[in-house]
Amino acid sequence: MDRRDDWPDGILEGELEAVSELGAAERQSAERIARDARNMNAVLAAMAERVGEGLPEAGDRQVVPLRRRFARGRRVMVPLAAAAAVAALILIRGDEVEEGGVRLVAAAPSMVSELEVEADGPFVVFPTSDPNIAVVWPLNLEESE
Amino acid sequence: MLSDREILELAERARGGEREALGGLAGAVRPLVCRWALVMTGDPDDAEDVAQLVMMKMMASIGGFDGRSKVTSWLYRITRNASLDHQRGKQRNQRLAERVEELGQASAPRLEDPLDEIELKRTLRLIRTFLAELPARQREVFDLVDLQGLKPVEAAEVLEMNPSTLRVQLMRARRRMRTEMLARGVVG
Repeated sequence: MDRRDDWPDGILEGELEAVSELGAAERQSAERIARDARNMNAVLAAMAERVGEGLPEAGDRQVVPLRRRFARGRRVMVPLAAAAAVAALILIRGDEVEEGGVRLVAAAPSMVSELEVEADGPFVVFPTSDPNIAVVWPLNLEESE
Repeated sequence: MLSDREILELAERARGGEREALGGLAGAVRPLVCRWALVMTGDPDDAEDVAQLVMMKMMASIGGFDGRSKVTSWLYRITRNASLDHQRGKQRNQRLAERVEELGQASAPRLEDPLDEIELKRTLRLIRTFLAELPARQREVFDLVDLQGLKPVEAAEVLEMNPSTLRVQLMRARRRMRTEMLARGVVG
């Protein structure tokens, strides 16, 4: 295990070329530092290239709204999470069901959502393992875009 | 990458209203601006916002570039100001570590010499330390000199810093980063 106190100040503070002539251990450390720097530079350059992909094309004078490519996950997930919360309030369930002549009473009372849904708006119905329960998920295409 | 002289020629032509030259200039400096923004903000999302602001500002104000400083110094100043404005009053992103990991992993396949998994993980750890723990000025200096290979005097020119001050910042950054490199790495 490395003990950082063992490394001469030259390694920590000076030019790598100057200390690389001292001895095998120092030379190895200098090489390690140089390789780490090269790797960091390569990865940072690749990261910066990805950052640049979100920018408008070169020479495009138009002022465009800021695009947040890396925030896309957040931007999509927040409205989806909100939609999920709303959907949970729109459980459709029957209070009483007759099965084989026996009246079954649901454990939870019916709930009616006060959410206003457009009559012709898109929605998805998710059946559940309980045939009396379904989840209705109104879609907001603009938000999930 | 274009030379300073070629960039200056493009800037002169762009200042004269040549749209094609402006496009060429934007394409030439875009990687630089993105890299600076990433190092300054320490956050890929913020870097994208800052870089976009800088590119728009450059296009809008190229006519005001007086040619007294290097184009890269002029742009660096714009990037720095945009970065400071953007960061003002904003706390550092707490999820930086995760996002560096995510973006670094996604970017790794583009490397000319792909790193093996151990080296990549090691490098991402170092980048997290670099972005999260070094003060902004030390990050900028370390990036320009030790990572991008500028001479200290050239970096001082780009950063418009006193060379002696730059050396002090560089030494502090090196001490932190090299300690990290030696402490964590298996030598060899």
